[in-house]
Amino acid sequence: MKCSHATKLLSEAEERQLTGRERLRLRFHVFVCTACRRFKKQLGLLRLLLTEASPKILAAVYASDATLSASRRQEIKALLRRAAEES
Amino acid sequence: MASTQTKEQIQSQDPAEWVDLYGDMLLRYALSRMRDRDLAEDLVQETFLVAWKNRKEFAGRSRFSTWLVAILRNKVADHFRREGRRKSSSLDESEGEPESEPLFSKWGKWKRSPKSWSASPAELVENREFWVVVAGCLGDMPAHLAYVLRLREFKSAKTKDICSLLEISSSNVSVRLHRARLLLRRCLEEKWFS
Repeated sequence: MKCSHATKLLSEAEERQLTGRERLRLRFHVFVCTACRRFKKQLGLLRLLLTEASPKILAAVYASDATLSASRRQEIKALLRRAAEES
Repeated sequence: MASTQTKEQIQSQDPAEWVDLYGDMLLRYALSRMRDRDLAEDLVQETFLVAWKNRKEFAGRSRFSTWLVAILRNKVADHFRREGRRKSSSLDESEGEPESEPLFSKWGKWKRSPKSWSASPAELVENREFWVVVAGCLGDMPAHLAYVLRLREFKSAKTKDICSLLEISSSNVSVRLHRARLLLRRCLEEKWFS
């Protein structure tokens, strides 16, 4: 089994039940391949961390200093004023 | 003050004032979903226009800002749905996407073998800088991949629900998730774990 295939199966294992043959070949590959063993462990860590991601990322991003560009701000205001006048 | 405006205040307000009150907040929300700033600003603009058109529907039960974010969230989902359909019709994703720097050699071996990560999950979760890096990595990968990963991992959406939301096949979802995980892993290794 190639590493590219092994990583695909490791990832797919989170979406579907692997077949017996797939599991067996994967287990053997992971046993002999340090890189894929690390990948497997990292996949588990990412999965664990990402369940917490939504509020954490939002908090980090809301704390950022991103602001609407001045030109866009004017453009949106103009569009809204026009819409308000039309109604 | 802005967050506790009543229905009547909102409906009689000059909508241009909304832009100063809520524009930056909405932009930051959009940027937490996508890296492309022009696109984020486009979606914020559409959000305000939809909000104006539907202002009578704002019942005042939630904060006005929450109501605006709900509109924006729908706009983001619409965008990725359109984008995803375009991608899956223009590319055979089972072949993967052409990549500037492939992760595996043509013999299927890692080009750069994963390194060992020393990490305490509990500490990472509480580290704001780590999440800024995660957000950056998600922003750097193709947006339709990041979006599927968000749905699956952040919200624990079922694969079949993602299929129907994005109108793509389950193998398509698996391929996207796999690509997204590989890219996120590599990005975090470069930007955080090295």
